[in-house]
Amino acid sequence: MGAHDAQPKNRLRIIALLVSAIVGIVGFRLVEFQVVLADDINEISYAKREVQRTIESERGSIVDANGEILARTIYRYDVNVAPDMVGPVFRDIEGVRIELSVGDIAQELALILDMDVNEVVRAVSGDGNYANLKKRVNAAVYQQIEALNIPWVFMDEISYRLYPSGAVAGNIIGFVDVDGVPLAGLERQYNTCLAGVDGQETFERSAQGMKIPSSAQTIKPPVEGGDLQLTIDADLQYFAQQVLADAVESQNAEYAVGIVIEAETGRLLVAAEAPTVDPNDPSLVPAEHRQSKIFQNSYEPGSTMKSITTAIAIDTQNANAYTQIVAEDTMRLPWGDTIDDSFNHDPRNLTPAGILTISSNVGITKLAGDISRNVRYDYLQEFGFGSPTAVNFEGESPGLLREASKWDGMTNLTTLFGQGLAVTPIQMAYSYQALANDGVRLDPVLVESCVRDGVPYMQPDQGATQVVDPGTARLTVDMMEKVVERGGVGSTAQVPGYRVAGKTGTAQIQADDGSGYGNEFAISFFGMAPAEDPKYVVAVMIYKPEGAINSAGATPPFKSIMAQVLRHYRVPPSTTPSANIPTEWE
Amino acid sequence: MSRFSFLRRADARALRPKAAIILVPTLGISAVLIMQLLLSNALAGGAHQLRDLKNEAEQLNTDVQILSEEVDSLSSQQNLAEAARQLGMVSNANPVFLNLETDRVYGEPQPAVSEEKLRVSGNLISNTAMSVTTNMSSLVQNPTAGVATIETFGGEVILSSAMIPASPTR
Repeated sequence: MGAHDAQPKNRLRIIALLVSAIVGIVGFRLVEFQVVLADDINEISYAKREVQRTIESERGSIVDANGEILARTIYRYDVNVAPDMVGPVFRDIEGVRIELSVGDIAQELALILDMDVNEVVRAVSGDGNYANLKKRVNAAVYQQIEALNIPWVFMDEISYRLYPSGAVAGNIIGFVDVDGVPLAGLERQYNTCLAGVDGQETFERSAQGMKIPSSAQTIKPPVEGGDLQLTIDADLQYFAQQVLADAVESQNAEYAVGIVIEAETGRLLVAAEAPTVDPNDPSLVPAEHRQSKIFQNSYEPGSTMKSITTAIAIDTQNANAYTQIVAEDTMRLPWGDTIDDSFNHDPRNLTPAGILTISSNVGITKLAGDISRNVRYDYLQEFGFGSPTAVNFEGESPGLLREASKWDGMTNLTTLFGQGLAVTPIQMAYSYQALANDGVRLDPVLVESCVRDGVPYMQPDQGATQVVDPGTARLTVDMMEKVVERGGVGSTAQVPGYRVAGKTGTAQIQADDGSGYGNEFAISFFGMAPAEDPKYVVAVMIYKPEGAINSAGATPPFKSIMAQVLRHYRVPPSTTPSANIPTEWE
Repeated sequence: MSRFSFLRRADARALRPKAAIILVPTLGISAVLIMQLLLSNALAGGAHQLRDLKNEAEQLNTDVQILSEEVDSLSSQQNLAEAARQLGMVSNANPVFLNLETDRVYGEPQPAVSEEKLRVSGNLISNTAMSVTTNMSSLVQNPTAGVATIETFGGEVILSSAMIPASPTR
């Protein structure tokens, strides 16, 4: 009996031992996998499931002074197919399952994508796994393609820069390339503000390659780009561009520029050019029209400089409202050269206002020719000539103002009436802004601010320079008013109801071959209104108008733009007469 | 005679497995499995709902994009100017201001003239982003209606008066 009793117990013990051994081994491996090797295994497993993705940041918008969007980022879509998966598509129509052949689908796609059906058939044929059907289709087309529910058609979302107003301020805004890289204008200059910083996220995918919901983890959040607010008024800019485009067309000119400045703040309200670029498709115009001529092109200004010379003469006490000058129509210089007026006339007894009114080269030479060249050079620098403006626009030209010590005898005199030096339209316009603003030249402001997440990222630091005495500026404006009141061409710049001050310019252009001045001109009119308390400065310059012999082609666009500006900003008409100063003397 | 006949009845009872030992783990495992099934269902349902909502959000985003592009086009200067022109609107270069406090009239009222040389009628500024334009057919009945002409307007406004002149427009 004892031997029989011991047998089951032994068996139980053996089984228990075996089970314990198995449990021990399993437990050991469990600890090994779950604790010792856990991190390594997890890492290998996660690496197989984990996908890293860049979260694209959105480029900021560019808006005008009133918040109207001039540039913003949207999405376009590339429509692609996988030719190796192309086949019939089944569709339920009113409860009936029908089969559509590849040809039927190609027709549907061709209709939506505005393509030739054979082109679509060609694209979907073959055994590759990728073929592009059409690039950069808009959201409406995207939605129509999505609705077709074709399993072998897939679309990629692409960031796209949209300029809703087209060529309005296109020359200033600039543009980006197909990859979103800024190439010109403010898009490029303010890229640090506009561009965001891409973020990164990880997510897990299933064995089938699908994203596992809720597995996304943002490891670096994107920083959205800032919004750039300009001082440009888009509606006014459009109007000015219209006027200039019409002038270029009717006068068969090379180009025209128009500038509007708020005199008391230096804000640039309009920087218009014609022709200009539509940033949505810069390739539509030649390369020379994809830039800003207002900032980048310099020219000899001609007679618009006489207002500046007159201000210098008054400020240095070499002239006043009653200074008497006898102006012939030609003036022989000691070294044999001559200075001529633009028309023949008997000697005339002119005051500075009279010199400006008939735009006498001889008169201005007699008025200011004796002022030291160094003094004049310093004044010209103070007026902003010879260096780029504070806008620091991409590729901005400093113009050309040689040091006074390098002026020869002729240059010393021709600079009095705008030859022998070159200016950009923006420099010339802001020299007039100084006259309009009691002699204080303000740095141009084109960008109001850049705001990121509601926080100002950048704001302009505006400088101011008292160039001439306020009394000098006032008297010069009064004299310029006589140009519009009594001048032959100047009077065509009159705006009904308002007192306007301004100056014509008919600048000869040097021939390309260096053979001296040719028969082509840069005609201009720079002015301000209301003359009794100038609020706005308007400048118009038309380059190489066909057959022009004076600036009569520049005053109608000036008048049109100035009238619109005064109405746009609700400036009440003038109620006082112009200053009682003479243009001639007995 | 069987060798198990030597076991006592009490010993045999002790060796018989207890039902509780089988039942408790079985029920436990069943409960866990059922819970897991319910949880999986709930998670799958949530995932489907999440996917549907994401699809809906994507669809709505696309709708917003389509509509905002249309608004961009319709509110562009080019479209508005053209629509105004087609409606017969003429820009007047001679504004008149009324001072309500002093009853004074600033400026000399002139009728807007559609052929005015200093105004550009058609659009000259390109905009390739314009995808839609204002449909004028429903708006235009008579393009010239409402535009004052020199004959009907001139001479009726008395400027010398300190009173604001009555508008001849009816």
